[in-house]
Amino acid sequence: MKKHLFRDEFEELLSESAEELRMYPSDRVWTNLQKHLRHEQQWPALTFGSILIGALMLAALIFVHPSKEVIEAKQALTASPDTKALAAAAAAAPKLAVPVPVAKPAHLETNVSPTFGSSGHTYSSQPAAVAATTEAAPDVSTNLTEASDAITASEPAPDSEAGSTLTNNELPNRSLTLLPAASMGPAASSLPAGNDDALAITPPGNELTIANASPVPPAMLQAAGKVDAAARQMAANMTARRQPRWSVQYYATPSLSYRMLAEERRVNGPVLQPNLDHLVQHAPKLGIEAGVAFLYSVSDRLRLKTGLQLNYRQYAIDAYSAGAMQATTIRFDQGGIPATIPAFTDVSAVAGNSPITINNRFFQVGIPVGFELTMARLKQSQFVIASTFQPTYNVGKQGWLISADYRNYVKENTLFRNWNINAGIEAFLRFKGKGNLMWQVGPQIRYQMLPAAVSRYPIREHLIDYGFKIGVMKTLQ
Amino acid sequence: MQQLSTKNVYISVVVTQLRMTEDLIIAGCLANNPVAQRELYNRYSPKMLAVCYRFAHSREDAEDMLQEGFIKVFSQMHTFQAKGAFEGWIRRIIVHTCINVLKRNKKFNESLDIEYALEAQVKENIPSILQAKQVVECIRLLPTGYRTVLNLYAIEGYSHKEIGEMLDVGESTSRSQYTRAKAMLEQILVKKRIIEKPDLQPGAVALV
Repeated sequence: MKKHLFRDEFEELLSESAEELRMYPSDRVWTNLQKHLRHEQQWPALTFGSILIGALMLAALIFVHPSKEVIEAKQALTASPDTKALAAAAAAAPKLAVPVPVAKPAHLETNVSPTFGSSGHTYSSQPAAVAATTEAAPDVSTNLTEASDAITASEPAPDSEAGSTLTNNELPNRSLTLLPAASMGPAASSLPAGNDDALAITPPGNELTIANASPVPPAMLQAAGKVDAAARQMAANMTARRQPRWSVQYYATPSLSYRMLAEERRVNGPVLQPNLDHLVQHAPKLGIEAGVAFLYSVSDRLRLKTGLQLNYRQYAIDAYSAGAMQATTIRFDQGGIPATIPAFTDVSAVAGNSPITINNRFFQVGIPVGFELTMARLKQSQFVIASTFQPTYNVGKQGWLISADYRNYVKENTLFRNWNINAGIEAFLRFKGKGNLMWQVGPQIRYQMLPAAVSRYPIREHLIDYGFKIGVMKTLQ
Repeated sequence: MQQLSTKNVYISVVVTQLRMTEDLIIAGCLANNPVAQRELYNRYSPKMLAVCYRFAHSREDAEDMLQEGFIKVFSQMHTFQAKGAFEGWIRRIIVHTCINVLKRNKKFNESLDIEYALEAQVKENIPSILQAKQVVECIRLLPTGYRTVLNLYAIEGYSHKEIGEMLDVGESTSRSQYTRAKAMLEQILVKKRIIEKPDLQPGAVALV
């Protein structure tokens, strides 16, 4: 084709040639495009994973990591057997035992408090007193734990006389001098200044012998008096110290989500279907909520709490395949005036084609704020009721809405609210567990107060979850 | 009765598919419906790839531009207002994507000697059956700067002022680039025997 070109003709030739050209992209373009498009709609696993890992790390830190006192005590005991170290260890040990009902000091009190000496002095197993004897017996290289275990294992007779023998297979073959005194209360007796007797537990071989050693060196008695005074001071401090008020709680609640539908009556809009619950066939599905809460004891019975909670709630809708894409509309209110927006779906609400199930799923992050009230206390348990108010944010959602003519379902995530408010009530039994852990189990009901869709969508959908909550709580020191 | 019902459903499906209008596609894409997205892609990607191809250095580059452009199309679908043609809206997005890619790669500074272009044209075995393809391939032989201005002005219909703003150059620069691009392309087309050398008569090919 040859032709003379004029100014417009040249540009026309270029334009026509360009417009005529069709090129078909390779499959990789659509594949990459699809990956990108689907990726945007994926469940925000990274967000949830990060929060979960953070919560687990916090749990590990709180529940597993030893307290500062334990570390200090161990360091002091292993580093030096001198008086100061043992005294520090002895001072630290009872602090650990405060919130624990059954602990070493209690054993010591039970097993060692009996009268050891024939002179009639009663020594409670006050740990500080252990240190008092070390001056007189500088070769002692045991630690408090070891001594406590040894004494616990020996099970001495309450009225054992001087010179009685305690069998202990675990004690080292060395001289051990022990002045036990465990009780931290005011009843804890101290070694009298004029006492001439001292206790010596000396295991010859595998036998632990308690014998009188007389006379007691004055230096030892002086040291015992100092340490005892320090112990009494510490006991007074601990008595004066307030009970811990903060607790941390981890919980999970498997739940079933139900929904309630109702068409909102607008001023200018007719109610087309007064009983939507019968028209829409829905089936509950299992969801879960899990979180961490921090509780503050206002009084013995009342605790306030808040925290962070993750919710996964879902329910199924029985629908039918429409076979192909169909045009439909979603009803919408624009300032009281009924309007519709075009939509596009292949899911029908009318029976006829092959039945399918569609799911409405929501992934939420919530900040529950509420309280707990202890209604009754039993020996090892409590009956508690609680209520929370939970602002929630949808970090992931997949929702189907019914069309204006109630004949189709339309997948339209943009019409669902991001923010919502839930209210939860629960009742549970709380049991004492090992250490200062408390376990709790009980039913819970959660109600979504605002409709799932935006206010301009005339059909109101409220979710209600029935769940069973399991939790564990630890008092923070 | 059952057969009749099935037949009606079948007809309904066929009719529905035939009536898959632009509005339905837009509504479907707004709802992130994969079928609607695929339909939109199938409908417009051949033409848009040709647009990208005119701007790009290679077919692979053109496909990358197309992919980036369609991601924008899908993600900005809610901004489309039914005031103008939907295809025109998509095309504007694609063209701007091409320009951004070229800017990003800083390919505007490339220069190409006309002799090299003519030689390259001879070396490149362009099928003579498709004139459109020939013309487009000749356009692609131009240096990037010339080619971009020529594409935008002569084919996409942008004014020199708009081109200057898009490419961050002056309006006069756009004009001069176009003049040179046009002259160079004419030489290539003549050499390729797609057009005759214009006569120097009044009314014949003139400068813009």
